[in-house]
Amino acid sequence: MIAIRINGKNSDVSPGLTVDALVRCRTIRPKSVAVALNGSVVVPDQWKRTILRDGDAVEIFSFFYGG
Amino acid sequence: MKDPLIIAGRRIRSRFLIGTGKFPSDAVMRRSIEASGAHIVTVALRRVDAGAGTGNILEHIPPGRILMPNTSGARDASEAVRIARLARAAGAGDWIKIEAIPDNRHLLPDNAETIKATEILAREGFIVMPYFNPDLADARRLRDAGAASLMPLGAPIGTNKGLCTRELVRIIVDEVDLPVIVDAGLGRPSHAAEAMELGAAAVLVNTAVAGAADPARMAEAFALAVKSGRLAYLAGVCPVREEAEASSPLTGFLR
Repeated sequence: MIAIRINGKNSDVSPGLTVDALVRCRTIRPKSVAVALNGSVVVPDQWKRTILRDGDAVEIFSFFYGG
Repeated sequence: MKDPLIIAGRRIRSRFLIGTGKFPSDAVMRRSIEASGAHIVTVALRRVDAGAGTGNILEHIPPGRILMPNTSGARDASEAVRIARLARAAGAGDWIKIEAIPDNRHLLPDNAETIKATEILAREGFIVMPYFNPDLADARRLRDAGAASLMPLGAPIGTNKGLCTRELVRIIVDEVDLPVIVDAGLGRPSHAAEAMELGAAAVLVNTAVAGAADPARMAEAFALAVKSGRLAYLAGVCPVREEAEASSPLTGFLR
């Protein structure tokens, strides 16, 4: 297992987990989701190619109510 | 009568922009957006918690709207820029409302940080709609930085106090050649009409609609007020006089 942070919380995940797989297990609507890895945006085209590593910080965002 | 609202070269169908916060339910929010006739609808960007249904809000926004994410949560330019880039990566398109708010009590924007963020994001091709404290010099800086419009506050967010900043907004409308969209603090339709009468291009309202006893009906009321205020502005509002002037002739009395 590797230790990463997801939205600020520590999490152990399988080695080789891609951003794409992580997003899909977090949400059923990946089309309206944005991902930042260690502070930088990862565009959807790159999700399948981005493999998470020990110590990575991932943030997953989507739209919410607001004015 | 042709009176289109054009922002960044795009024709916007309604001068009433609406927010999606604070509604009692998704269904009420949807009906309110429909009743408002709004073309531009604001949303926020937030982290997705595990297990939460994401993208739900998008299902409850009626089709054919322009989604305008805000950078709420940002306290400075770098945070606003980050949120804007994330919003675009999440598929929101190029519209972005910049909110750079360091203070949680009054929620007043930091104009200097807003200007910095505007410059960066305008260069990256965003349609930048900056929410700011109505200062003429800052309005000009925002225009020079590439803002597509100006969004001066009427009063602090959520206070429903109305157009407290009317004199400063009026000056900005007169002096800066950009659509002025009064945003925040408008509490009733008459406030929105007032903003439109003095020449604002549009208004953005959230709390006053979402917090009303009947939000969809209030959205309709605001929509009518915005249209009315705009018509009045185009019709040419009469000046204030210090002395009375009779409406009926002062001769030929039956006495």
